[in-house]
Amino acid sequence: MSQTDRLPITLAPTVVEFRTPRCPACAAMEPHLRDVADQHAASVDFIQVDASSDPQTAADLGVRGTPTLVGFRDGVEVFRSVGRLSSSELDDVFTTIAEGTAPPRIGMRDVVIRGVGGLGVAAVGAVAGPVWPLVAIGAVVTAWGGFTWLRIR
Amino acid sequence: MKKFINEAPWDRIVRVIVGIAMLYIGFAGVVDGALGIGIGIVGLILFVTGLVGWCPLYAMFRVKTSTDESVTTS
Repeated sequence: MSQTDRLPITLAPTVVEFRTPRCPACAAMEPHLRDVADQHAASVDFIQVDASSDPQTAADLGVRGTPTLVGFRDGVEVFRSVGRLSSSELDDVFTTIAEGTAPPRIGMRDVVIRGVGGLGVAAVGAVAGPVWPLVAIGAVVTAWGGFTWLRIR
Repeated sequence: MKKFINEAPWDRIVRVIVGIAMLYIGFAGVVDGALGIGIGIVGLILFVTGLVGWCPLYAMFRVKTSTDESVTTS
């Protein structure tokens, strides 16, 4: 049984929202999501799943929090977002799924930018004084780069 | 929450470099007083937005310097 067998997902571009009735972020996003889904109804199928009444489907897709939006093209997951999105971000999601393009994802580039940026600030802070707040910011950012690397590898 | 990257790599590198320079000017005593603090804060914002790859002003005005990538389904 595949991960999506419990959902009526076709080969058409599809966005699935996992929500729960008691989730404030889901409730806050609902009217915007409805509007955007209606605007893209001709090109993107939209499915809502109550994760509290259908936990198996949520588990099959590895949903760990709500609201989670999962985008499919040709029946394959190509996009995932966890948390509340603004109206413009929701529009981006549906456009992404409809057109088959997506914003760049977090990758090695982010590790390099954060690592080098953090070391740069720490170095500037150490040379100029030292200015301890800059050194601290640099250390935190460098550590952030390290965590990013751990996450993507 | 995860935001989408809306800055191109060159945009992010410029922000980080300019941000570090402004942090230095603002917080290392090159410029004193409120002006120095202001420069430092702007530098911090540039630095952080460069690190994250997401600019709230871009999002507000629906602008982006990044290029979308094709999603593969195979």
